[in-house]
Amino acid sequence: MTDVNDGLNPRPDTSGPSREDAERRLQELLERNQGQGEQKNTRRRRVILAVILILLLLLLCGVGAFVAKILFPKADNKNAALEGNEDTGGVIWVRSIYGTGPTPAELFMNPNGVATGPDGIIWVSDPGTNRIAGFRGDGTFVKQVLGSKQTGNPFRIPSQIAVDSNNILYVADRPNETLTIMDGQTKLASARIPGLTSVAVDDEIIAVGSNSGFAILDKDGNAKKVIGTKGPGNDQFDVVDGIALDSSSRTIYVVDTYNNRLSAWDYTGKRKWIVVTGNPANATKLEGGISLETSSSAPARMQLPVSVTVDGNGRPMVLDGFGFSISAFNPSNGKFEGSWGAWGEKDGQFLYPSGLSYDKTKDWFLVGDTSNLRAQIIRIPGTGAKGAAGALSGLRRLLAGPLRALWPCCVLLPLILLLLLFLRWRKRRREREVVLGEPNVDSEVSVKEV
Amino acid sequence: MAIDTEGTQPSGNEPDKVVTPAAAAKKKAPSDPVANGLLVTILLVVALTLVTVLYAIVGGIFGTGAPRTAGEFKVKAAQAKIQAGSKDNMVWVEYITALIGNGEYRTAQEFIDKGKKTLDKQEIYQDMAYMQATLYAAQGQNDKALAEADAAIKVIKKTSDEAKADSAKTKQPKTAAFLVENQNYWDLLLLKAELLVKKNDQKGALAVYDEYLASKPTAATVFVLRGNAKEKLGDAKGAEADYRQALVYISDDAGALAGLKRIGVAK
Repeated sequence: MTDVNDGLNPRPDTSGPSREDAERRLQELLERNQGQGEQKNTRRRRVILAVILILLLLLLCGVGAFVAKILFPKADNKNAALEGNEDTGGVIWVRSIYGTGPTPAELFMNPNGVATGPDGIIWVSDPGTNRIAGFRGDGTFVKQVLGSKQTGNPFRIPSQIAVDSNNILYVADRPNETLTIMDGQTKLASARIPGLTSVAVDDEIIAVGSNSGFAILDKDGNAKKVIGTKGPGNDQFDVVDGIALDSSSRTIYVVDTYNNRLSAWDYTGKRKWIVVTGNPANATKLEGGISLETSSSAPARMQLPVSVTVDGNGRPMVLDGFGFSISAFNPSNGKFEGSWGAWGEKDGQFLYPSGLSYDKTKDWFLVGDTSNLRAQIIRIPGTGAKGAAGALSGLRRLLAGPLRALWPCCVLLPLILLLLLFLRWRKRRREREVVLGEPNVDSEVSVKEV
Repeated sequence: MAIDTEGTQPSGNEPDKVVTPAAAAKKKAPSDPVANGLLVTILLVVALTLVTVLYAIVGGIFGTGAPRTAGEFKVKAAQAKIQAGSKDNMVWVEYITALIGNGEYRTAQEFIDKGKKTLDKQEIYQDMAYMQATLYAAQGQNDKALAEADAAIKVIKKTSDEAKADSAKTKQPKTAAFLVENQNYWDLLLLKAELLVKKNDQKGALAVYDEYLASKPTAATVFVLRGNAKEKLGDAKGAEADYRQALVYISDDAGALAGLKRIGVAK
């Protein structure tokens, strides 16, 4: 090794400076100044870029906050008397869907049935405007199927609806007693079912409710079992407004609306249990206008059960159209477990709701909130999976909302970062190769003693 | 550092190659990793922002303009009536109330001003005064709201007194102008009380509620509000009586039940 000469302390020349030495020193001085200038430039460049980055991020935050304010509507449920939020009976409002657009013709007139497809599309039937409209999880409109009262093609007046895992839509046209099966806009089949009221479907069967009972059909539409006659007896039914399937336990839940009962059946048509959920509406008097009596000895004290679905814990959840609530029952014995919901027109409240559906993937319920002219997406604590599956549901809910705009970022950002890391790794590898295998005067500098 | 990368001695013919750090820096002109990192980050942020915006537009994130909340729905429903050319005071009040409820204050003010010019002069003052006071209250301008409400209350009272006098004189009852028939008057009273509560003037609010309930003794909500005011004044017995009175009219009134629970007499 030779001495280190950093150029700052040149070795004193005892023989006196020659002309060459003087030139060299001058050159060194100039180069040193130039080096300092370079350093200054580098610093300035860094500061400018850092400032640009900070300003850009601040701008993005500002714009993001503004856009978020537009995209995330604030719930309208303030109550002066309560000095806080309106009572929603434990229901957590997510968002509401009022129609396909802002004009009166586009708004719902009588939203009724609700269902979620395997692609996450929320379907809402509106008998008032003869259509079934599809929405994303954030409530934005996707597509609709229009019916015709005149031709009945593809349906006349849609009421309750169901969607299977192949995205086939099952539409109960209640006034015309017709079940229509559709693939998108295409009508695949239709069948006349006397007294048809409701429909449910899974990969194995189709279950249809009627005024006098229910029927189990195979996926080709052939009746496997028809159960019930009209009446108040134990084996009778008085309008099955709600029917739901739990594929995992192969159970059919049947809401017997005017008898105010809930029953569970297996897929062969054998009854597992039956419970009374309130005073039968067909044997009671109206009290105080349109409200029914509430003095039932049944723990659920439901007024008019109109729809049923199955939550993430396999519990039948029954919608009370006149009690403005949703009640949970034990799936093994029908024991009442709890009730949520409140009357009203504010966000999260119900006004004569008629349709209920549960989306397991997002742990939220869809409610056809008929007299409020809307479909509501709500949550009820404790109805979904817990732990990692619960967290996944939360993530799905998040990305089903307006935050779905961040999907490309979520996908692209890790990819870009990986690409940058790869490029950096390749560059370093090349440099190492150069240093070890191919010495290069350009990359490594030799300073020799003068 | 002096590193002899050649590993050989220079030949006698070639001049010694002396390179200072500054010269080396100039010669190599190495890129600044920090600046490069910052530049890449900026480009990344810009690119991802553009992708997000594009995806948001193409993916219909902004929706079709359909209402998404009860408040937005009320605005759209009333707006449709206004756009259809309605000059009904009540429709205008409904629309402006919905706008205020939805936080669209500028449009609300615009329609209050427009309403004063467009609608029937005789009836408009009370409606628009009530709306103006409500708007000020919603904007947090409580003093202005209180002044507006007070002024409107006085005018309505005066009109009512004149109508009563005229009625007595002509023997032709003009009940429509009487206070008890004037919804604006009662709404203004409640608004005034609410503003007084906000100013923590519970006694003032109590007086207003008393006046209200003296004429409308079945207003369950107002019993709850008066109960709240009494509770804040430390009159637990009075508050309990009011909450229980509210439950006479609405057996499951959430405000009354919550009040009873607060003062520990829920059972």
